[in-house]
Amino acid sequence: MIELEKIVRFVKRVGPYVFKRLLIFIPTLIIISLLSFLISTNAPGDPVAKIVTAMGQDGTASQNSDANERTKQLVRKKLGLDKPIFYFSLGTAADCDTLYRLPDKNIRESAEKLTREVGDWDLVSEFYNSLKTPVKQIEISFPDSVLNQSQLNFKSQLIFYLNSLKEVASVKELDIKTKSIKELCDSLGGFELVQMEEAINTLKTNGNSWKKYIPSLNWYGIDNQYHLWLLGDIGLDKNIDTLSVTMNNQVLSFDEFNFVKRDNLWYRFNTNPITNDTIFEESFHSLSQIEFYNNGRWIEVEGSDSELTAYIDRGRKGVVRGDFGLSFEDGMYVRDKIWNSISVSFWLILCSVILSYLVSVPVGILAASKKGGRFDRWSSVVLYSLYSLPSFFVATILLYTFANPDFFAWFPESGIYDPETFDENWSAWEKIKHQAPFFVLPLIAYTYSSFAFLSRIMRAGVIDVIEKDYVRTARAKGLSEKRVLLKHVLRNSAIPIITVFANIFPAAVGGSVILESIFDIPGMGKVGYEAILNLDYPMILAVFTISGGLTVFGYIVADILYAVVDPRISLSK
Amino acid sequence: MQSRKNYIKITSILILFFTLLGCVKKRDLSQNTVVFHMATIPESLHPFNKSSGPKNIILHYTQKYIHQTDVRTFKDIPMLSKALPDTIGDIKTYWFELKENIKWDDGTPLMGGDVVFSVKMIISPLTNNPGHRSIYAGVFDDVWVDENNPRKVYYRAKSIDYRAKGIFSGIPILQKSYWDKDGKVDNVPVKEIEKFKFSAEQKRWFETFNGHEYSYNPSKIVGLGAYQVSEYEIGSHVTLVKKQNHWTEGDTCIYNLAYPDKIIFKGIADVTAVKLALMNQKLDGVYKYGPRTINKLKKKDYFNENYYTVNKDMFVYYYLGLNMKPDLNKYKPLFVDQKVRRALAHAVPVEEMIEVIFKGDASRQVSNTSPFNYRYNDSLKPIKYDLDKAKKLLAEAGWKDTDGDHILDKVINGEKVKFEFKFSYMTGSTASRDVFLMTQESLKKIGIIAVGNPMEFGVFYNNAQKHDFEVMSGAWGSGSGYSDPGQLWSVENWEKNGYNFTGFGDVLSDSLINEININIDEEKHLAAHRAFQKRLYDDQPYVFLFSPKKTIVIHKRFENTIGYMEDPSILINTLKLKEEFKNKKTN
Amino acid sequence: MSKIENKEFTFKIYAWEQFKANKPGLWSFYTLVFLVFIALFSPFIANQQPLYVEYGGKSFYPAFQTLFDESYSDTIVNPETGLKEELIFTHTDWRRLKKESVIWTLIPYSPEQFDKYNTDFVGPNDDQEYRSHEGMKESPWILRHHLGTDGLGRDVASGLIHGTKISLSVGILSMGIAAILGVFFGAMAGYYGDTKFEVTRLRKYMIFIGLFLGFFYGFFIRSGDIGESFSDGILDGFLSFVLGLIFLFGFTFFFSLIGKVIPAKGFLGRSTPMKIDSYVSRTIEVLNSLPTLLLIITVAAIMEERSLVMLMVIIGATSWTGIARFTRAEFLKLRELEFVQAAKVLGYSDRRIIFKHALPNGLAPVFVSVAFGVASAILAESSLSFLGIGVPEDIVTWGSLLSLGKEEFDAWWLVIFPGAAIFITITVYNLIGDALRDALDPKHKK
Repeated sequence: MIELEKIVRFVKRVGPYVFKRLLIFIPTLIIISLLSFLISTNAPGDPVAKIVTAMGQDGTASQNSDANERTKQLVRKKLGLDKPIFYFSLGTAADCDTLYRLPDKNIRESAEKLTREVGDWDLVSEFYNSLKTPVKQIEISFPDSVLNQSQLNFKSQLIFYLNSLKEVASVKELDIKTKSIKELCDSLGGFELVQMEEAINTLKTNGNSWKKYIPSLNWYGIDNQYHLWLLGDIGLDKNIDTLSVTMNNQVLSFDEFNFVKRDNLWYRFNTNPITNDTIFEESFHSLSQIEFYNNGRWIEVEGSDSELTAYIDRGRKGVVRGDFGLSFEDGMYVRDKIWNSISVSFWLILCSVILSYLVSVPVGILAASKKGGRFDRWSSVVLYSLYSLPSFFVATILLYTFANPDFFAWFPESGIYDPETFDENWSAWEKIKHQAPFFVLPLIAYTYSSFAFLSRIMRAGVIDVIEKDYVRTARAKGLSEKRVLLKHVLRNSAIPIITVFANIFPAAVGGSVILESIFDIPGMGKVGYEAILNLDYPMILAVFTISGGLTVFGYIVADILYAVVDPRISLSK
Repeated sequence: MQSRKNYIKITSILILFFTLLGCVKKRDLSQNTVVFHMATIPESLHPFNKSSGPKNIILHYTQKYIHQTDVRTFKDIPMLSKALPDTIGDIKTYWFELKENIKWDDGTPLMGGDVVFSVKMIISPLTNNPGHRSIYAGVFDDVWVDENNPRKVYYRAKSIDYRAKGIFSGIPILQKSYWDKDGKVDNVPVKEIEKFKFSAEQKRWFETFNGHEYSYNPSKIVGLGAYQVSEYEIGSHVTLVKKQNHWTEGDTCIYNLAYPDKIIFKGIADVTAVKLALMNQKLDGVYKYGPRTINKLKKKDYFNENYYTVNKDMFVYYYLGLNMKPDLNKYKPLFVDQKVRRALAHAVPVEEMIEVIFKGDASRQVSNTSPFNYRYNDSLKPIKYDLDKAKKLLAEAGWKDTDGDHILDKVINGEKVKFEFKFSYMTGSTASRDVFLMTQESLKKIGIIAVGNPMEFGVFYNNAQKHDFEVMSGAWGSGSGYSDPGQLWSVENWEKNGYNFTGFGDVLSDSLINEININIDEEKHLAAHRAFQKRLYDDQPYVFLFSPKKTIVIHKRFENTIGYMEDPSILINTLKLKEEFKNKKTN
Repeated sequence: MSKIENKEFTFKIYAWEQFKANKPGLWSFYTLVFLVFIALFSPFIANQQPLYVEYGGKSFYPAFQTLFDESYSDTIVNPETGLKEELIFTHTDWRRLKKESVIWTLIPYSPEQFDKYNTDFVGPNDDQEYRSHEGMKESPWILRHHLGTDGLGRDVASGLIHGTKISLSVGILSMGIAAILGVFFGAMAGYYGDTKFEVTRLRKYMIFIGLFLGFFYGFFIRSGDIGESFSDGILDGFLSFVLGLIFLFGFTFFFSLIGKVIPAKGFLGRSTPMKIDSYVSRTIEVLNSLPTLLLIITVAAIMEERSLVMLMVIIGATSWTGIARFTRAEFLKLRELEFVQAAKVLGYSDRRIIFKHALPNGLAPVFVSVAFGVASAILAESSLSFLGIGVPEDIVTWGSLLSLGKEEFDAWWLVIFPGAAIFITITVYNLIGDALRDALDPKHKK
C-alpha cells in the first residue's frame, strides 16, 4: 500500500520530467548530427580528389591513375557534394549566395575573402568576368608556332598567372600578380589587357566595404546536403511527369538545369557564378539521352524536343529511415559497415564497465568508511598510479610482454578472431571460447584506468553522505555500521556514480581509438579514426551521430536514476 | 564487511575465468594454408572497379590475364593466349589467339567474345573505374573476333602507340555468359563507346555490375584463376580456397601452379602487431616490408629458423618536388633558376638518408626511371653531397647572406627575399618525416630555412596538383613495365592540374615524350627515353632521392621460397608445403 | 563584513594545514615544483650549446648567447693554422673543436639535434661514439646519451627535459580554460535552474539579438583575420581571439542593458524565466555525447597549421563539460540546502550568495575533476602526438617519443622513459587534486 503510494508519488515527481526529456531527445540528436555534419564538411581537402586519386603502399601514388576535372565533377555530383550544405547560410550583404556551386574549394574560399574585402560582389564578379578574355586573347595573338622557346615559357607562365588570378584572396595579392603579369606581357612583346585592368581598378576604387557589416541569411530550400542525409528525398518532388520546357533560341531549361543545342549535340550547362560564363557539364547526342542527378535521384529524360518525360531512377532514404548513405571509401552501405564495429565496441565496453564497477564501488566505499586509514591511503595511491598510466603505454607493454615469444606468448597479438580456424556457424559458446583470448589484453587496457576515477567519485560521495546529519542520527540510533552503510549511505552516495555512468560510452568510443588501432580491433573508435583520416564524411557522421544518440539516451536513464535515489532533487519544477 | 569479500571473490573469479580462456592454442603448422600479410585489405574485389596495389595482388590468384610480365625476367609471357599479341598490316592492329584448354568454372570454354566483353567493360564510361579507365580508353580503338575462328581476337589502337602491344596485361578477363547472360550490352560498340547512348535498362544493368554485391559477396567474385574467394571481411581478411579440377591442373607455368589449399590475406596495419605475428609464426608470408623493421627480428635465432628473408629493390622512388613555376603571391620564385635546383640537389644528404633511414637498404635514384628498368640511362651519375658546391651555385644564382643573419637572401623585383620555404610532406609516412628533418638540418648549414608542413594524403596531393606548394616530398611507384612519362612531365599535365606538380617542361621535352610514345621501334623508343631522362637529370625539377628496398619474408615450412622484385613479390601459388611438416602436429 | 574575511582567513590556514597533513599530496606538490623548475630552466639543463667554452684564446657562453639570438656568431683565430675561423653557434659542433676548456650542460644535446654517430636507436648501455678533434672516440660519461637515442640519433633525455615544458603548459592552459568555462556555466545552471532567473520578454529577446550580433561581428566576419593572425604568431592569434570574445560579451551585455532600461508593456513586458539550466545542459549533452578524443582529432585535423596553443584551446574547449556537470550537480543540491535558503531569506544578492556562500561549498568536487582534468589533458596531448596528429612534428614531445618506441619495440628506453615521465606527471596532479579535495572540503570545518 505504502509502496504503491511511493511509486505514484515518484511517477508524479519524475514522470513529466522524463516525458519532457524524451521530447528534447530528438532535437538534441539533430543538433549533434548537424554539429558533426558541419565539422566533417569543414575538414581540409577534397574527398572527391581522394576518391579519384589512387594511393599505393607507403603513400606512393600509382603513376597510372588519372584524375581529370571532369571525372571529379561527375563523382562530386554522384555524391551530391555540389549542393548547398544546409537549408540556409549566414553571410554578409557583400557575399554571393550561389558560391557553393563552385566545384573547387580553394577558389570558393578565396572568392569569399576577396568579396568580403571589397565589399561588393558585383564588382568582384565583374573582375572575374574580365578574366575570361585575356587567355583567349593571348592564344590568338601568340600562337605557339610563332614563338621561340623562351617566349613559350613566358607564355605558359603568363597563362598560369592569369588562371591563378581566380584564386586571389586579397587586393594586395592582386597588385603583386598584375605587376608580374604586366612584366611578362612586355617580355612577350607587350600588349595591354585593358578590360581586366579596368575591372581591377574599379574593384580597388569603388568598393564599399561597409556592406560586409550587414548580416544576411540566404535561403537554399530543402535540396541541400544535410536534408538529403537526414531525411533523404522526403519533401522533394518524387515524380515529375512532364517537364516545363522553355525553348528559346535552342535553350531548354528545367528548374536549375539548362540544356543547349550546339552543332547537333545537346550540352547540359551551368552558369558559373564567378565568371558568369557557361560550364558545359555533360554532352548528350540526342535530347532523349539527357539524364541528370537532381534532388538525390537520377533523372532520365525521354521524349521529343517539344515534350519531355522524366523518369526517377532511385532515391535516398535518409538517416531517419535508417539509410546512412554510402561510404566514400568503398561505396558500401555505411549501415552494414558500422553495425559490426558497434557490436564489437559494445561488448568490449560493456565488459569493461561491469568489471570496473565490480572493482571500484566496493573499494570506494571501503576507502571512505575507513577514511584516512591504511587501506584508504594505499588504495588511493595504487589506483592513482593505475589511472595515471597512459593506456597506449600499457597496451604497448602488454603486447610486448604477453604476446611476445621472448617473454610469454599467452595471447594473440591482434584482431578479434583467427580467420584460419574460426568458423561462422559455431555455437555461441565455441565462439566465446575462441574469441576470449583476443579480448583479454584489450579488456585490461580498457578497464584499469577507470578504477581510480569511479572509486574516487564513489569515495567522495560516501564521505559526503557520512557527514550528513541523518547518517549521524542513524548511527546515534545505534544501527550497525554495515546497516548504516548499506541503508543510508550507499543509496545517497550513488549520485556521482550515476552522473559518471552516462559519460562512459562516448569516453569509451573516443578512448578506444588508440587501443583499437594498437590491438587492431575493428570497433567504432578505429572505424571513426580511419573515416576521419580518409575524409569519409558519411562514416564520420554515422559514428558521431550513433554514439551521440546512445549517450543522450544514457543521460535520460541517468537522470531518472538520479531522481530515484535522491528524493530531495526536484526535477519537474 | 561480508559484501566486500563476495565482491572480491566474484571479480577475481571473473578475471581468472578470462585468463583461463585466454591461454591461446599454438598454430597448427601442418595445414597446407598460407597466411599472407597485407597492410590494408582492399575495399573491393571487383575485377574492374578501383584498382589498388593490394587488390591487384589478390586478383593475381582469382583472375587471369591474356599475358603477364614474368616476375623473373620482366618480359611478357602469354597466359591465356598462345602467343603475345602481334601486329599485322598497319602497325595499329594487333591479334592473338586464345588457348583451347581454358575453361570457366561452369565448364564453358574461354572464347573471343569474353575478351571483347572485358574490353567493353573496362573502357565503358558507366563502369565505375574513373581512376584508370582513360589509360585503356586512350589506346583501344576497336576490338573484334575473327569470323571463322572464335578464339582469334583482333584489336586496333587509336594511333601508333607504344602502349598498345602490352595493353592487355592489365585487364582481367571476364566471363560474358556469367555477367551478361541475356546479352544486355551486346549492342554496345567498342568504337566510340563514350558517345554511345545507353538505354535506361542498360544503365540499371551497369548499376548492378558496379554494385557492391559483386565487390563484396565472395560467391559473386568469379574469375579464371585457380582460387575462389570464400571469406571477405573488410579490414580483417580475405580467404581464398583452391578450386577442384581446375583447368590449370598439371600446368607447369609458374603462374598456373596452385600448391596451397587455402590462402588467407590477413590485414594488419600496425607495425608492432606484424612483428609479433611473425615472432609467433602467425604469418607465412610478408611482402614489401621495411628492411629496418625486419633486420631487428633477424637478430633472433628462432626467427631465422622459421623464416626465409630476402631484400629486394622496388620500382618506387622518393623525391623532393621543387615548384619551378610558383604562383607569385603565395610563393616566391625560389626554384625558378636551374642553378638553385642543382644546388639543392647537392645540399640534400641523400647518402646519409639511405644510411640513417634505411640502414643502407636503398639505392640512389638519379632520374624518373629505375636503374632496374632496361630503359634506364646508366650514363647519369648521382649528384654528390657537397655543401660548398651548393653554396657556389647559389651564389651564382644571386643568393648571398648580405645581412649576416646566416640566412641567404636576394633582391627579387624590388623586395629583399629570404631563402625560406615550406616543406610539404605526408603525415603517417615516417620515411618522409625523417627526410624532412634531415633536409631541414642540412639546408640550415648553407643558410636555407625549411619549415615543416605535414598534411594528410588527400590534402597533400590536392595541393600538389594545384601547384600549391614550394617543396614537397613525395614518392612514385610503378612497375617494370612501360608507363607514359607524359602523365608526370608533360606541360599539359601541369596546366590541367594533372600530375606534373612542379611545372617542368617546354616544347622540347614534350616533343621528346611524344617521340617515346609513338616509336614502337625499340631502338628509337629507348634513345628518346634515355634522352628524356638526361633532360630531367639536368633540369632537376625533382631532387631525386632514393629507391628503398623491401624485405620479403616467407615461412620455411614451404618450398620454392623465392622473393621477386616485381609485385606480387611472392608467388603464393608456388609455395609447396614440405613433407616433414605435413605429418607434424604442433600443439 | 570584516567577520567574513576573518573567517576566510582562518579557513585558508586550516586548508593549508590539512594539505600539509596529506603526505602523498605534499610530496607530489614538491615534485610538481621540481617539474616546473625543469621546464623553466630546460635550456640550461639540456642544450647542445655548452654553458662555457674557452677556444682559440676567447671564452664564450653559448648556452646564454644563443638563448635570445639564435644565429649568434663570432670569429676566432685558430691557434694551429693561424687562420681566421667563423663560429656560427647554431651549427658549430663544439665536441669536435679542440677547446682549452668547456663546461657542458647536464645533457649536452638539444632535443631536435641529430647525433649522426649514434643513430638507429642506440641504447643507454650500448657503446656510443663521438667525433673529437682527433677522430672518433668512445664517448666520455658527460657526452653519453644516458637514456639512449631514437632512430635519427636524437637524445631521449633531452627530449624528455624539453617535453616537460610542453606537457605542463598543455595541462595548465587547457584546464584553465576548461575550469573557467565549466565553473561559470555549471554554477549558473545549477543555481538558477530553469526558473530562478526571470526577465521581461523584451530583455530576453534583446539578449539573444546581442548574442547573435556579438558572434557575427566578433567571429563570423573576423574568421579570416583570426586565422591569419594565428598563422602570424600564437600571441597575435590569441589576442584576436580574445577580441572576438570581448565583442561577444560586450554586445550581449549592452543589449541586455537596453532591454532592462527600455520600459516594456503588454506582451513584451510580461516576465518569463530564462531557461539557463536547459541551455547549459543541452550544450553539455551535445558536447559530451560526441566522443571526445575523436572530436579533438577531427578538429585538430581541420587545423591546417599545426600549433600547440591551438591544441590546448581545443582540449580545453572540449573538456569543460565534466567540470560543469559536477558544479551543476553540486549546486542543484546546494540551492536546496538550509544555509543558502537562509541567505536568500536574508535578501543577499544572487552574486553574493553564489560566490560567497555557494561556491566555496560547491568547489570541492570541482577540484577533483580539475585535477583529473589536467591529467587527462596531458594524456590527450600525449595520445595525439602518439598518433602523430596536431602537434608539429619537429617538436619533440613525450607522446611522440613513445610512438617512436612503439615502432621499434626493441628500443625499450623509448617506451619506458617517456611513459614514466607521463605517468609521474599525471600521478602528481591526481594526488595533489585529491589532497586539495580533502583540504578544501568545507564540511571538515569544525
